[in-house]
Amino acid sequence: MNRYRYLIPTFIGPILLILYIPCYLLNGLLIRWGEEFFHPDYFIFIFCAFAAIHGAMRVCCFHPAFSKAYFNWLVLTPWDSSKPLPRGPVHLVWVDLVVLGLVSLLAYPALSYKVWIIPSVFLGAYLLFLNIALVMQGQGDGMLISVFVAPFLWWPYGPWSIFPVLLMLYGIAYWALCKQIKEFPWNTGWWKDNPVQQWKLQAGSLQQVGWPFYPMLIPDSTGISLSQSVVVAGLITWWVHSVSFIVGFPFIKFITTMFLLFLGMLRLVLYETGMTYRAPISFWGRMFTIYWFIRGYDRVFLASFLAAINTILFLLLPIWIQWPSWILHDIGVFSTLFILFAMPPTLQNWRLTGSYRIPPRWIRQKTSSTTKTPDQIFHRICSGSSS
Amino acid sequence: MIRIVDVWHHYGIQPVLKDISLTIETGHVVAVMGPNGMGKSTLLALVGGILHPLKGHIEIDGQIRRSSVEAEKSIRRKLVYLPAEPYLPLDRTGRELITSVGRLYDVEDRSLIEHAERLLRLFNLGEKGDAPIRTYSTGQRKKIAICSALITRVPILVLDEPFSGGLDSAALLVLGRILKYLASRTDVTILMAVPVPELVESLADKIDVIDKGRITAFDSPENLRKQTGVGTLTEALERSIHPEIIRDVEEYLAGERP
Repeated sequence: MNRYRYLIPTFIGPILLILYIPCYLLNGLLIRWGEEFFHPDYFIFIFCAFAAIHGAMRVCCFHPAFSKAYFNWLVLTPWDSSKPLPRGPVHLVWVDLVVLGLVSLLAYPALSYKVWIIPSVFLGAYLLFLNIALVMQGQGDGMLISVFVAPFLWWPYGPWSIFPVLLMLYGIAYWALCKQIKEFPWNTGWWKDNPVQQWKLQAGSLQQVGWPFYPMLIPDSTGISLSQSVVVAGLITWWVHSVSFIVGFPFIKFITTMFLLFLGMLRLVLYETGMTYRAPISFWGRMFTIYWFIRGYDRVFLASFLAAINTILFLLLPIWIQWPSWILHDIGVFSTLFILFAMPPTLQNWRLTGSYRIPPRWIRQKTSSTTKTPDQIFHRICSGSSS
Repeated sequence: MIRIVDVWHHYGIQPVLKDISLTIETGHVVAVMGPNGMGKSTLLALVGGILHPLKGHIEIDGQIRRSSVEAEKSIRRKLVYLPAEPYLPLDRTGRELITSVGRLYDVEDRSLIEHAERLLRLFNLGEKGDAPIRTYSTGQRKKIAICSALITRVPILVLDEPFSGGLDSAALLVLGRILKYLASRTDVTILMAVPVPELVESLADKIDVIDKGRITAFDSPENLRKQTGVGTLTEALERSIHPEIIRDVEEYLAGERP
């Protein structure tokens, strides 16, 4: 019981009471006098905010993945996964049920039957942060299953499926959490320090070495495997399919076409094609010397080019093939994503074997005080200087 | 060993390098010389890996540049390329730059810090080493760029005009001595572009003369002198690189005389 007392929201609970009770009482009086201060539905926002914050804090304050100090302390103690976590459990326990029950009871006069929204929002926020913690520590399987199950929240049975699906998602997350806790202490790699700070430091050190050292660095990314490409492409297609039931098929068709074309461009941007890594010969040089196709360089465009062709092809296919258009659309989305994810070269392969040239970057040695290089801008953002 | 095999390179329509083939043995120092705009820097950039030849290939210790991930990784670990005008991160200090570059080349931390200190002192950058590079003069920027190449301690150095760029006489002397020391080692290979014959005479095992994208001579300074039948390397290069210059100067001076 001692550990469970930390689960009571002693900070945001009183804030909820201070916000809600006077408003509710005042509203009651005003209604009696024939006026309305708040529409009762507006109370939903107050309770939803409480539920979301409490759900997030329920993970962030108790999961060792979110606290470096807690993690390091646990490592130094004789704690192991067979014992309960000293700060309190990450999984849901009866105290959570009591807290949510009390809050729902408190909200019932204002929200009536809509009171089911409170535990749903709480569970939604809780699961979101729990999955973040799971992914941070390499428990991606649970997250993938959750991503697959999540569209059932709104499809095909509408809002009525929300609560059972959330419970199912909780079951999956609980299974992954148990697995994760058993594997403690986790590989304390990049996340151990503040990940944002780590990223800044790492990027800073890359920018620290200038040209030509910086573009000659060996990237870590070795790409994703074929099976991972199938899974990721499949999950995105499944989400697109599910969302189309909310926003309507014509709209989703337009959005996904734009999104896929954008992804093709994004791939080129990530590979820094045409910027840091340019063709070995100029455009006119290629035209006049008949180097129209340079295998080692132009292969980087192939995935984006094929993805664009595939997207347009599947957009036009319903004209010739009398299949339900949603089937063709889903096949089109899946195949385009698969091309973009799985098609070589990987980033590392391109950087190390591409036939590009690395010109002196857009970063110039002589920069005026008004023209700031990306490096300078980056440094200022990192150091928080506004000058 | 560096092997340049049948290399052609264009930036635009005109080829900059035409069918260049060259072998530089391990432990040798080779100076690339020739008139401006004739492909010296392009050749060094190709060996350095920031350019890729349109035809032919570059081989470093038997591994072809950019032929495979493993080969390229291995080459990048043992070769440093310093262009004539590198981009230096102006907001960083000189010490930060050279230690960062050292870390890229997996130099052990303690040795790196100690080596950085010695290099900064050697190039008279002791106090300036902790100031942002933007406050450096042109010569000091060149010095810190040279330090960044030397700190890597790799066996292959590709240096584009290391003696140019505003170095003072002390720095010229220091760099000359260091390169001479490296040249005396059998495990260090240096390929550099140097415009001044006097600077390379005592350093280079071989001189590669490039003119209009082709190699016109590749031999030891001694043999170059013998071939041209003159006393000094300067005169030998005058004849092989700039045969028209003596005539042009004579013509000009004739016009100046009253």
